[in-house]
Amino acid sequence: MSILPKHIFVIVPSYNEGTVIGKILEELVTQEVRVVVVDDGSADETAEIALGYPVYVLKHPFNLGQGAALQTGMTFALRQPDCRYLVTFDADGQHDPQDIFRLVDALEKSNVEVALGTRFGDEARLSGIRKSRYWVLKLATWLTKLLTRLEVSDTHNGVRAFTAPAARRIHLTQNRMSHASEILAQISKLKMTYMEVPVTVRYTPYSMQKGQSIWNAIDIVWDTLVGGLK
Amino acid sequence: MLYILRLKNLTSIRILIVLLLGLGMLFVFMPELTTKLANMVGFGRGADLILYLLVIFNLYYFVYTLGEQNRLLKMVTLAAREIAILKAQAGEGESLAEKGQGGDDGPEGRWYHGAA
Repeated sequence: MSILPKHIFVIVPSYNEGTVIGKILEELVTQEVRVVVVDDGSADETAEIALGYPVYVLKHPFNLGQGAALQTGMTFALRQPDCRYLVTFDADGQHDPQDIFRLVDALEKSNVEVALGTRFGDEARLSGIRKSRYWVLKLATWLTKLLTRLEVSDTHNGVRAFTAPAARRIHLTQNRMSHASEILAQISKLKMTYMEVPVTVRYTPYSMQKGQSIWNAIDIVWDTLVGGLK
Repeated sequence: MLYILRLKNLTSIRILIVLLLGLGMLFVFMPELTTKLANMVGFGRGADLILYLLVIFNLYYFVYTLGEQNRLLKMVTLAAREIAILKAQAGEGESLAEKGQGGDDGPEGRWYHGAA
């Protein structure tokens, strides 16, 4: 079965990305995909700018966090009758739109349920990463591997692809950044088949500033431990 | 383990509060009672017993509140998610709708907010 490109839904969670969202949407709308922008209650013009492109725009009435925005996009996409693949994609311009097809191809060819982008698959593809960030990411990866027992090399990469049936089984409840670990935890718990695909991460001054710091790492550990209290 | 202590209905919480208030009043009016109780469980002073009970109660309350907060946050999130999806499907593309570019698009009845 060949891929009918418009069956790929690209979910772009965005929060106060007004300065860059237009640029990334310009790149995305040239691809044969459907784009779902989830504006997570931005205070700036993010949603208004996105409305200028042929994309679906969903707007949270208030800020809930990136995990919540991703789940909103996934829930919406799964309600569309022609949705077969879901790809998550960060709004800050750090990803390459071509990687969407690398991931979906991997799903098709390898018959796995989830394809995870990794920036460590091929060290040469890392452009401009800071030393401290490299080690924070390595540490996060090591911790997540320990907790989920998945063999992954990059746990906090924003590009991931799911088949629709797989995405339907995933329910993100961690609203903030911990969703990255939560996705992996659910892949592990639900015994989903997965593979890693090397992707490009473009480190621009903007994405560096928006990216995760050591403080986020502490938040993620807190959310993972305390967020489960019911 | 904390699930056992989770009080499911409001009535039981109210009864507990009244009981605790009553106990507190009893201890205020009969301080020697706390000393007796403390000696029974092996603490030297009644004040110590009260302090330990307070610490335990506070910890329980802290965890209970965190759990409640998580539960509420989940409900709020689900509600907000539905609002976002329903508003989008209703074609509330605010800025472009004003310019007359919003609404349905294409023969499949698919809607875009943007100019397609």
